[in-house]
Amino acid sequence: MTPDNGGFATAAYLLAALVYGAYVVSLKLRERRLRERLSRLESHATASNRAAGA
Amino acid sequence: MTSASEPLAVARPRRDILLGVAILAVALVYVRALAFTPIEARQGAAQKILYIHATAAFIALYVAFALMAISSILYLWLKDEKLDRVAESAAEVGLAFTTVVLLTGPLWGKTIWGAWWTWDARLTSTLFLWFLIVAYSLLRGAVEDRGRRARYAAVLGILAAMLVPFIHLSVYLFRTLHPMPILLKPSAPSMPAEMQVTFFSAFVAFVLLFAALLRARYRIATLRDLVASREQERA
Amino acid sequence: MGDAPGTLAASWIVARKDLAIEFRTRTAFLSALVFALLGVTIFYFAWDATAVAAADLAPGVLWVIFTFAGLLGLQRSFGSELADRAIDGLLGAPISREAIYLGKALANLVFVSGILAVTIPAVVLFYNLPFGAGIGALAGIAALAAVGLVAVGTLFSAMAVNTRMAELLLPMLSLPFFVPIVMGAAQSSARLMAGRPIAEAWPWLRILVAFDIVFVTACTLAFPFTLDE
Repeated sequence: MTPDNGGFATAAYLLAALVYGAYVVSLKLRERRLRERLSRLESHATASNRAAGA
Repeated sequence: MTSASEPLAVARPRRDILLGVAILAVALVYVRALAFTPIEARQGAAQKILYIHATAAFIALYVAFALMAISSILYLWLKDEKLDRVAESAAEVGLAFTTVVLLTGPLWGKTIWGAWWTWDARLTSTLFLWFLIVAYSLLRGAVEDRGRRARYAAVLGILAAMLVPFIHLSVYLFRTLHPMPILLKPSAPSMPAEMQVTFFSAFVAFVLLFAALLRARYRIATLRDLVASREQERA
Repeated sequence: MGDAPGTLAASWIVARKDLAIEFRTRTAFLSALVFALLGVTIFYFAWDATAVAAADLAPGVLWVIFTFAGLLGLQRSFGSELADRAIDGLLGAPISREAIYLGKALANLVFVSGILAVTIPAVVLFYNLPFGAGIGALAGIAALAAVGLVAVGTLFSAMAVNTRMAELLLPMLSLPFFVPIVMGAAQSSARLMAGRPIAEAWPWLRILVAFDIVFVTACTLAFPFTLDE
């Protein structure tokens, strides 16, 4: 008699997708935030360079 | 002083093709495993958890953790910052995979053993792996100086790599309930061909996912260090 | 000025310095001791004494308390050097880095042994353990366990003291490593105190000895990497 435990499989697959998915989202958000900080630092640097060169 | 051209390569966001392919591969495996793979007669549909549980377990231990340990050793020897970033990335991605192992394992275990958790060698080692990577991440978070952080993390990484087999061997003294590996028997594997295909497809897909996540995490580490250097220059 | 002391002699000098400082105030030792005794007491009230015999519980209680009291002792290990960067004095001295580690570990070993010397009799007393040959074996197991705890704990204490959350970080780093020690010590002492033949306890003792050998070596080799130079 094959046991009826499909619910467990569904739950496991969902949980895994959730963990991996949340991690991907976390990576994307962190990368975006870092790029924003970097571009802000870059624009400050070029602005001060321009001011110094002028 | 500011090398304006250097950061642009990293600063320009590119579409992550590897990650896209990996996610697609995983999605396809999901469909194949759930809809197109036969149900195992004795264990029922829950046996399909194997395809994501065993692959995550293998990658967490033998890919992520091994990479973390090896980069730690190499870092202490060669002192190259890139190695530290690899170790850091391997640890974090490994933590995600280990979490999946610990969440899917009990769900599968409940159906085949009747118990959510047992303290057998493999489960216990995996739990310890999880604790150790968390400790590793906390240690990294607590040390400000970059050089010191890398050294401390490397020391912990190496010691952790020594501890996990120790735990496994120690707990092996207790009787283990973990299912014997049916693919790695010296004789022919006892899985029907369709399941084997699903299993190996799952393996490939999740290895791709690991590689994509590792690369993305490594990029973040590089960006973070770059930002930190720039901020220090301004100060 | 004579030759710089060899590693063992230098370790002993470092250990003596630490123990002298510790002995002057005794606060840390007495606090850890009282903590251990309180812990042993609290555990006794934590379950149904009619369901489980106190003597069966005793090994578990002893080794759990041992790890937490040990952690308290380890916390203070490098703390005294943090003030005024006193560690620079140590680093400037003509002794090897390994000697600094071994000396600190030795001082911690004395500290932890002192706590065990009081806690074990307390457990025998409170849990009504049969006082026989098992007690001698217990002392031996305690020595092995203390060596392992101190080896790992001293290394992590050196790292944790340089961070913002030292008190939380030290347990987080150390406790996973303490598990084989607790496992080996508790399982072997439980069997020996229950009067089982030594052959039954031997596999667990082997784990303890193996852990000590592997991690004393590894931590001694790793220690220089935790220093900033």
